[in-house]
Amino acid sequence: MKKIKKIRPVSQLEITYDRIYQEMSGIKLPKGCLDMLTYIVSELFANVKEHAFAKKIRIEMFIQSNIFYFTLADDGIGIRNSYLQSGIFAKDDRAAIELAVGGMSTKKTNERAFGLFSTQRLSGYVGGQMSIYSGNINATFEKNKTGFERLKRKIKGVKVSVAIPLKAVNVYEVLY
Amino acid sequence: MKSEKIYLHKQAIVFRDDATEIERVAKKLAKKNPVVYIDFKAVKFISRSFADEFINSKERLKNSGVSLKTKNTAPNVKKMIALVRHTRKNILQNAGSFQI
Repeated sequence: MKKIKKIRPVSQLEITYDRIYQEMSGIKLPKGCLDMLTYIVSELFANVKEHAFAKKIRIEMFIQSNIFYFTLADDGIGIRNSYLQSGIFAKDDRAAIELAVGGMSTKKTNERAFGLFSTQRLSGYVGGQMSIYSGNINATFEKNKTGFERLKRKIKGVKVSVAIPLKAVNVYEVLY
Repeated sequence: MKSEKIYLHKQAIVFRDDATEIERVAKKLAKKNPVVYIDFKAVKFISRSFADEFINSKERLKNSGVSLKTKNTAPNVKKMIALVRHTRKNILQNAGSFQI
Protein backbone atom coordinates (compact mmCIF):
# COMPACT_ATOMS: atom_id res chain seq x y z
CA MET A 1 0.00 0.00 0.00
CA LYS A 2 1.26 3.44 -0.93
CA LYS A 3 1.53 6.12 1.70
CA ILE A 4 -1.55 8.34 1.55
CA LYS A 5 -1.40 11.99 2.53
CA LYS A 6 -4.40 14.20 1.86
CA ILE A 7 -5.89 17.48 2.89
CA ARG A 8 -9.60 17.69 2.17
CA PRO A 9 -12.45 20.06 2.99
CA VAL A 10 -14.90 18.71 5.56
CA SER A 11 -17.63 19.12 2.94
CA GLN A 12 -16.01 16.08 1.27
CA LEU A 13 -15.84 13.99 4.45
CA GLU A 14 -18.13 11.21 3.15
CA ILE A 15 -16.32 10.90 -0.20
CA THR A 16 -12.95 10.96 1.55
CA TYR A 17 -14.06 8.21 3.93
CA ASP A 18 -15.31 6.08 1.03
CA ARG A 19 -11.91 6.37 -0.70
CA ILE A 20 -10.03 5.49 2.48
CA TYR A 21 -12.32 2.48 2.93
CA GLN A 22 -11.63 1.35 -0.65
CA GLU A 23 -7.88 1.60 0.03
CA MET A 24 -8.17 -0.41 3.24
CA SER A 25 -10.36 -3.05 1.56
CA GLY A 26 -7.60 -3.65 -0.97
CA ILE A 27 -5.03 -4.62 1.68
CA LYS A 28 -4.47 -8.29 2.39
CA LEU A 29 -5.07 -8.54 6.11
CA PRO A 30 -5.42 -11.22 8.83
CA LYS A 31 -8.95 -12.39 9.66
CA GLY A 32 -11.09 -9.69 11.24
CA CYS A 33 -8.37 -7.07 10.89
CA LEU A 34 -10.21 -5.06 8.24
CA ASP A 35 -13.21 -4.81 10.59
CA MET A 36 -10.96 -3.44 13.32
CA LEU A 37 -9.28 -0.87 11.06
CA THR A 38 -12.62 0.15 9.54
CA TYR A 39 -14.13 0.47 13.00
CA ILE A 40 -11.34 2.74 14.23
CA VAL A 41 -11.19 4.90 11.11
CA SER A 42 -14.99 5.24 10.99
CA GLU A 43 -15.14 6.37 14.62
CA LEU A 44 -12.54 9.05 13.97
CA PHE A 45 -14.41 10.31 10.91
CA ALA A 46 -17.72 10.29 12.79
CA ASN A 47 -16.12 12.36 15.57
CA VAL A 48 -15.06 15.02 13.08
CA LYS A 49 -18.54 15.16 11.59
CA GLU A 50 -20.38 15.31 14.90
CA HIS A 51 -18.12 17.41 17.10
CA ALA A 52 -15.31 19.23 15.32
CA PHE A 53 -16.94 22.15 13.45
CA ALA A 54 -13.90 21.94 11.22
CA LYS A 55 -13.29 23.24 7.73
CA LYS A 56 -10.49 20.93 6.71
CA ILE A 57 -9.15 17.53 7.57
CA ARG A 58 -5.71 16.07 7.05
CA ILE A 59 -5.20 12.35 6.61
CA GLU A 60 -2.12 10.21 6.63
CA MET A 61 -2.21 6.44 6.18
CA PHE A 62 0.47 3.84 5.58
CA ILE A 63 1.68 0.41 6.64
CA GLN A 64 5.20 -0.22 7.85
CA SER A 65 6.62 -3.35 9.48
CA ASN A 66 3.14 -4.89 9.72
CA ILE A 67 1.76 -1.87 11.59
CA PHE A 68 -1.09 0.26 10.25
CA TYR A 69 -0.51 3.97 10.85
CA PHE A 70 -3.42 6.34 10.52
CA THR A 71 -3.75 10.02 11.40
CA LEU A 72 -6.83 12.20 11.12
CA ALA A 73 -6.39 15.87 12.04
CA ASP A 74 -9.01 18.60 11.87
CA ASP A 75 -8.90 22.36 12.28
CA GLY A 76 -12.04 22.53 14.40
CA ILE A 77 -12.84 23.68 17.93
CA GLY A 78 -10.97 20.98 19.86
CA ILE A 79 -12.19 18.55 22.50
CA ARG A 80 -12.42 21.00 25.42
CA ASN A 81 -14.50 23.52 23.48
CA SER A 82 -16.74 20.75 22.22
CA TYR A 83 -17.56 19.90 25.85
CA LEU A 84 -17.94 23.58 26.77
CA GLN A 85 -20.48 24.02 23.97
CA SER A 86 -22.52 21.23 25.54
CA GLY A 87 -22.32 22.78 28.99
CA ILE A 88 -19.68 20.39 30.29
CA PHE A 89 -16.75 22.17 31.89
CA ALA A 90 -13.43 20.39 31.60
CA LYS A 91 -10.90 22.36 33.59
CA ASP A 92 -8.17 22.01 30.96
CA ASP A 93 -7.27 20.16 27.76
CA ARG A 94 -5.95 17.14 29.64
CA ALA A 95 -9.20 16.78 31.58
CA ALA A 96 -11.16 17.09 28.32
CA ILE A 97 -9.13 14.31 26.68
CA GLU A 98 -9.57 12.13 29.76
CA LEU A 99 -13.35 12.66 29.62
CA ALA A 100 -13.44 11.79 25.89
CA VAL A 101 -11.39 8.64 26.24
CA GLY A 102 -13.33 7.71 29.38
CA GLY A 103 -16.56 7.75 27.38
CA MET A 104 -18.16 11.07 28.36
CA SER A 105 -20.49 12.24 25.59
CA THR A 106 -21.21 15.82 24.58
CA LYS A 107 -24.68 14.63 23.56
CA LYS A 108 -27.49 13.64 25.89
CA THR A 109 -28.36 10.23 24.45
CA ASN A 110 -27.30 6.81 25.64
CA GLU A 111 -25.17 5.09 22.97
CA ARG A 112 -22.68 7.91 22.58
CA ALA A 113 -19.04 8.66 23.32
CA PHE A 114 -17.74 5.31 22.16
CA GLY A 115 -15.43 6.78 19.51
CA LEU A 116 -12.20 7.41 21.39
CA PHE A 117 -13.18 5.08 24.22
CA SER A 118 -13.43 2.03 21.98
CA THR A 119 -10.54 3.09 19.73
CA GLN A 120 -8.31 3.12 22.82
CA ARG A 121 -9.69 -0.23 23.94
CA LEU A 122 -9.18 -1.87 20.55
CA SER A 123 -5.70 -0.47 19.94
CA GLY A 124 -4.67 -1.53 23.45
CA TYR A 125 -6.07 -5.02 22.92
CA VAL A 126 -3.87 -5.66 19.89
CA GLY A 127 -0.82 -3.98 21.45
CA GLY A 128 -1.13 -0.75 19.50
CA GLN A 129 -1.03 2.91 20.42
CA MET A 130 -3.33 5.90 20.14
CA SER A 131 -2.21 9.53 20.44
CA ILE A 132 -4.53 12.48 20.82
CA TYR A 133 -3.44 16.06 20.35
CA SER A 134 -5.91 18.70 21.46
CA GLY A 135 -5.25 22.19 22.80
CA ASN A 136 -1.85 22.10 24.47
CA ILE A 137 -1.78 18.38 25.31
CA ASN A 138 -0.54 15.27 23.60
CA ALA A 139 -1.97 12.18 25.27
CA THR A 140 -0.66 8.73 24.42
CA PHE A 141 -2.55 5.54 25.24
CA GLU A 142 -1.18 2.03 25.23
CA LYS A 143 -2.40 -1.06 27.05
CA ASN A 144 -2.04 -0.29 30.78
CA LYS A 145 -0.02 2.85 30.04
CA THR A 146 -1.07 6.46 29.55
CA GLY A 147 1.17 9.48 29.07
CA PHE A 148 0.45 13.21 28.90
CA GLU A 149 2.84 15.74 27.46
CA ARG A 150 2.35 19.51 27.42
CA LEU A 151 2.92 21.00 23.98
CA LYS A 152 4.88 24.19 23.53
CA ARG A 153 2.20 25.60 21.24
CA LYS A 154 -1.52 25.07 21.40
CA ILE A 155 -2.86 23.28 18.33
CA LYS A 156 -6.08 24.10 16.52
CA GLY A 157 -8.60 21.28 16.43
CA VAL A 158 -7.85 17.66 17.20
CA LYS A 159 -5.31 15.25 15.81
CA VAL A 160 -5.65 11.53 16.47
CA SER A 161 -2.98 9.07 15.41
CA VAL A 162 -3.12 5.32 15.77
CA ALA A 163 -0.51 2.63 15.28
CA ILE A 164 -2.25 -0.74 15.02
CA PRO A 165 -0.43 -4.07 14.64
CA LEU A 166 -2.02 -6.11 11.86
CA LYS A 167 -3.33 -9.13 13.76
CA ALA A 168 -6.32 -11.43 13.51
CA VAL A 169 -9.00 -10.12 15.85
CA ASN A 170 -12.74 -10.36 16.40
CA VAL A 171 -13.64 -6.74 16.96
CA TYR A 172 -17.24 -7.55 17.92
CA GLU A 173 -16.09 -9.87 20.70
CA VAL A 174 -13.54 -7.37 22.03
CA LEU A 175 -16.13 -4.62 22.20
CA TYR A 176 -19.05 -6.72 23.47
CA MET B 1 -49.84 -4.88 -2.20
CA LYS B 2 -46.26 -4.53 -3.47
CA SER B 3 -43.72 -4.02 -0.68
CA GLU B 4 -41.59 -0.89 -0.67
CA LYS B 5 -37.80 -1.28 -0.72
CA ILE B 6 -34.76 0.87 -0.03
CA TYR B 7 -31.49 -0.30 -1.55
CA LEU B 8 -28.22 0.78 0.04
CA HIS B 9 -25.30 1.12 -2.32
CA LYS B 10 -22.39 1.96 -0.04
CA GLN B 11 -20.10 -0.81 1.21
CA ALA B 12 -19.38 0.98 4.48
CA ILE B 13 -21.96 3.19 6.17
CA VAL B 14 -20.53 5.42 8.84
CA PHE B 15 -22.49 8.56 9.59
CA ARG B 16 -25.65 9.11 11.62
CA ASP B 17 -27.04 11.24 8.77
CA ASP B 18 -27.30 8.11 6.64
CA ALA B 19 -29.72 6.58 9.14
CA THR B 20 -31.86 9.71 9.32
CA GLU B 21 -31.93 9.82 5.51
CA ILE B 22 -33.15 6.19 5.46
CA GLU B 23 -35.82 7.20 7.98
CA ARG B 24 -36.90 10.11 5.77
CA VAL B 25 -37.16 7.90 2.67
CA ALA B 26 -38.92 5.13 4.62
CA LYS B 27 -41.54 7.60 5.87
CA LYS B 28 -42.17 8.73 2.32
CA LEU B 29 -42.47 5.16 1.02
CA ALA B 30 -44.68 4.17 3.93
CA LYS B 31 -47.44 6.37 2.55
CA LYS B 32 -47.98 3.57 0.00
CA ASN B 33 -47.27 0.63 2.32
CA PRO B 34 -46.49 0.72 6.07
CA VAL B 35 -43.95 -2.10 5.70
CA VAL B 36 -40.66 -0.94 4.18
CA TYR B 37 -37.76 -3.26 3.45
CA ILE B 38 -34.18 -2.05 3.52
CA ASP B 39 -31.74 -4.12 1.49
CA PHE B 40 -28.23 -4.31 2.98
CA LYS B 41 -26.86 -6.57 0.23
CA ALA B 42 -24.06 -4.20 -0.79
CA VAL B 43 -23.14 -3.25 2.79
CA LYS B 44 -20.11 -4.91 4.35
CA PHE B 45 -19.62 -2.66 7.37
CA ILE B 46 -21.67 -0.27 9.46
CA SER B 47 -20.19 1.97 12.12
CA ARG B 48 -21.31 2.04 15.70
CA SER B 49 -22.72 5.57 15.20
CA PHE B 50 -24.78 4.50 12.20
CA ALA B 51 -26.01 1.38 14.04
CA ASP B 52 -27.13 3.49 17.00
CA GLU B 53 -28.96 6.02 14.84
CA PHE B 54 -30.47 3.24 12.73
CA ILE B 55 -31.97 1.68 15.87
CA ASN B 56 -33.30 5.13 16.88
CA SER B 57 -34.78 5.60 13.40
CA LYS B 58 -36.41 2.17 13.47
CA GLU B 59 -37.98 2.97 16.85
CA ARG B 60 -39.23 6.37 15.69
CA LEU B 61 -40.70 4.79 12.56
CA LYS B 62 -42.36 2.06 14.62
CA ASN B 63 -43.93 4.70 16.85
CA SER B 64 -45.39 6.35 13.78
CA GLY B 65 -46.78 3.05 12.49
CA VAL B 66 -44.03 2.20 9.98
CA SER B 67 -42.33 -1.18 10.08
CA LEU B 68 -38.75 -1.06 8.75
CA LYS B 69 -37.47 -4.55 7.98
CA THR B 70 -33.92 -5.48 7.01
CA LYS B 71 -32.97 -7.85 4.18
CA ASN B 72 -29.71 -9.46 3.04
CA THR B 73 -27.89 -8.27 6.14
CA ALA B 74 -24.24 -9.38 6.35
CA PRO B 75 -23.09 -11.08 9.59
CA ASN B 76 -20.87 -8.07 10.45
CA VAL B 77 -23.80 -5.70 10.14
CA LYS B 78 -25.94 -7.93 12.36
CA LYS B 79 -23.11 -8.15 14.90
CA MET B 80 -22.72 -4.37 15.08
CA ILE B 81 -26.45 -3.85 15.59
CA ALA B 82 -26.44 -6.56 18.29
CA LEU B 83 -23.40 -4.93 19.95
CA VAL B 84 -25.08 -1.54 20.08
CA ARG B 85 -28.37 -3.00 21.36
CA HIS B 86 -26.43 -4.85 24.06
CA THR B 87 -24.59 -1.66 25.14
CA ARG B 88 -27.77 0.40 25.17
CA LYS B 89 -29.45 -2.20 27.35
CA ASN B 90 -26.47 -2.29 29.73
CA ILE B 91 -26.33 1.50 30.01
CA LEU B 92 -30.02 1.69 30.83
CA GLN B 93 -29.78 -1.17 33.35
CA ASN B 94 -26.79 0.45 35.07
CA ALA B 95 -28.52 3.82 35.14
CA GLY B 96 -31.59 2.11 36.61
CA SER B 97 -29.57 0.55 39.43
CA PHE B 98 -28.04 3.89 40.46
CA GLN B 99 -28.89 4.81 44.02
CA ILE B 100 -27.99 7.76 46.24
